[in-house]
Amino acid sequence: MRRLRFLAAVVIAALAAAPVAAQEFPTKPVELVLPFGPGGSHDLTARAVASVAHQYLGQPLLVVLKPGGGGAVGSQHVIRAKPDGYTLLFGGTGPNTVFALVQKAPIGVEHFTPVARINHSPAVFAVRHEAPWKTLREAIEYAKKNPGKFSFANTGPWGAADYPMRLIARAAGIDYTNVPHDGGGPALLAVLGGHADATFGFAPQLLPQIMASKMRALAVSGGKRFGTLRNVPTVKEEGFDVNFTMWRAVLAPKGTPPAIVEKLEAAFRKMSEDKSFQALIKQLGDEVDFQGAKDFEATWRQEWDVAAKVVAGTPK
Amino acid sequence: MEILSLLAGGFAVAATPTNLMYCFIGSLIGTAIGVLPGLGPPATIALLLPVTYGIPATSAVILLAGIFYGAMYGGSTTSILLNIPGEAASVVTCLDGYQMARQGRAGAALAISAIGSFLAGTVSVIGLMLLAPPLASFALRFGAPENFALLVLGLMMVGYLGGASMTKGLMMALLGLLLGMVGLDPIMGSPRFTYGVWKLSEGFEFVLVAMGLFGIGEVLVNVERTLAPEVLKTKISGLLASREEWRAAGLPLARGSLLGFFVGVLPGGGAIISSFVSYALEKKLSRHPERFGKGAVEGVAGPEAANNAAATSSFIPLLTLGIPGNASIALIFAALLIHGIRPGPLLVAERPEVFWGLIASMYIGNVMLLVLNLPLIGLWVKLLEVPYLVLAPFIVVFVLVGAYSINNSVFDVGTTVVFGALGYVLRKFDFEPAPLVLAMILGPQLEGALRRSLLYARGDLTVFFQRPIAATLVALALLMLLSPLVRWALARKFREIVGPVSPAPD
Repeated sequence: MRRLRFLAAVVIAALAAAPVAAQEFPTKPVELVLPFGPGGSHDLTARAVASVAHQYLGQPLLVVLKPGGGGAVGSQHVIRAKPDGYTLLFGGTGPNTVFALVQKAPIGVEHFTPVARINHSPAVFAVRHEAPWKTLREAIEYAKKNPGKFSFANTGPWGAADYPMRLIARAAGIDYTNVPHDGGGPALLAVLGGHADATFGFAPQLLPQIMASKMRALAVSGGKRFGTLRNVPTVKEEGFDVNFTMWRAVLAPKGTPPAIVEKLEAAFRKMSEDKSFQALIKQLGDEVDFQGAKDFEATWRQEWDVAAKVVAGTPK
Repeated sequence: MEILSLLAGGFAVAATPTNLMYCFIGSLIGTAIGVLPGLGPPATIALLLPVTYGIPATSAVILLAGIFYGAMYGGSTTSILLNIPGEAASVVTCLDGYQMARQGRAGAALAISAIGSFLAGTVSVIGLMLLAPPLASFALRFGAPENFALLVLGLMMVGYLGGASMTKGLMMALLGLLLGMVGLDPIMGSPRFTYGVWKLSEGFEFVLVAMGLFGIGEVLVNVERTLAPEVLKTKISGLLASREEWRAAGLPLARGSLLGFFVGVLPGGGAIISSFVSYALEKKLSRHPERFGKGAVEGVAGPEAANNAAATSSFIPLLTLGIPGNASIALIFAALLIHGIRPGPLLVAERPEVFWGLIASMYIGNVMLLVLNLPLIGLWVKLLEVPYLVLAPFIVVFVLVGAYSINNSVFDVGTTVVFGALGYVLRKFDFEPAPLVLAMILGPQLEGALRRSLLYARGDLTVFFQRPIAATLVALALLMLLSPLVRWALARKFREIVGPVSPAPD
């Protein structure tokens, strides 16, 4: 009750201040908080955005790293910040959907006002070149016939490899050996070294392996085929009703005035259309796929509902 | 001979004035952040990454790699001078390096570590050049059981770091393993000992724990002792190492370089493991193991060589397999991507100028670091002439600002202070914190490797004896564990045959 009243007070105060603030916004640099450490795809994408932000926002966009707690530390920093549009989160599927649900962290869809999704990456299902399976369907059939024999190296519990594999296993009804590794590199090494049968990875890490014929990509987890891997079918095409991408989106604290959200949304939309920004994202092996506040909120809620069921372990 | 012409091509790339400049800037920044506590190489490389967007790919890699291996040089400086390990791999350097400094041999310790780092770095670059592909395929054979066996062997050596008492060392290691449990379970992802504090769900950050236990703990103890005036009278005798010290350092340097080179290829904590395995090895081989922990030259030379060699060889998985072995290398990977280069099995063939340019720049960078660091030694040693009561508050500020700078978090500063208090208590009761810190880092890795092995083997414990590499490592560990018993049994047998041995005349 007290929280509700507090929220109401914040919203009223914000609304009252909105007309003046929105016209001038932004009058000082905007902070984009990253709930991760340096160097990941999230960091690189955020820096690519920041590199073109000034001309569209009128103020610099500062990337601030607040790692820790599986993304909870940075996320909560933004949730608790003044909802004035100057403190934003560069959130993602990892912390704000999966971690939020699995660890019951209050950093999920209910706690933010979405501003814009910059892009999203599908995960790529890959096996060692020597593996007998030529398609995802073959691999899953093998797993079905040999319960527990098919070993899958994931990049950490509930991470970007584990989660889509759980979705597939749920859709296909298979029992496989699921082995968590300490990040994408070690999981890839486990498959390359023949210790595990398959993993999910992102295109930039997997492409060199695929081009050198060390690994074979069997499917991509997104709703449509992806970038440089046009000849690789989606998981859905292979007959499993799964659609998963890791999104990267700008989120504002709840109670940020709509006028400011609109202004930010418009600025981020222009940044995502910037030529040099698009070139940088392409170099990272990703595609820009902008979604505005309304559309993205719908996408996120849909993802959230599916994830909630998977995490709760309820059958489909 | 082909390799020589390729290398010459690399030098042609690396020795252009611009690339020489980038190499120098990288080494300089690396040395600086190695000396400053807190901000480590990954954070610095991330900060500088956008700067490299506009320069050619080879220059970018030369700059960023310079920061990485430069930090390995600088990291030992604060370990020796102030007992603050700048990064995980220089924890072991504190043990004897700081003791040498207290005996007025700071210059010698710094010189040995700088020249040792140079030699080890060079040995490792040569190894990288000649052996990269076969070593990469060897690293691929390291699955979970092999990692587990290596970690067991490594952890057994942690006991050797405990100073005089092995029991106390093992107690500290145990405490470290417990602290390492804090955070999310590596296999299931369930929180352990976090008490609802999100900050704890990734466990304690190594740098904070080390700066607290070593840095703050040391200051507290010293400030108390300074009341009795004669304790901290550090007399600096001779800036560089003496002839005897070099003689003592020679073999440990060679052994450390080789050990570091091979262990560094393995993904994960290669540099850390190699540093204390080298320490344990030197202690075991020494005719005077009792000098270790009291300023033994070998205890600085071996581990310093090992961690520098490992830093260089950790580039092998990136350059030959396209898989970064640690956080810094992951950022260099990202820099290459941005420049349209995909590190992987085809890198050497497709972009030879990047591969050979980088290797050549490593030769050059190592020379630059040596030239940069040797004159600095005089300056560092001067620092110790500052009265401790004046120096102490600066050290504390230095450490706390460093702690804050890592994640911009006040919680982190608090963590450092709490571990500082613990460090003080431990020192009072004569416990050595090094085993604690190392066990804390290796514990989660050990747990992960064990559970991973058993998951892959579907619960079959014999997996550790069926695979040749794992079995060899386990056998070595058992041998170490049982060696006192065997020696004791042999001695008894010997007495039975020869009869009671009369005590040696005094």
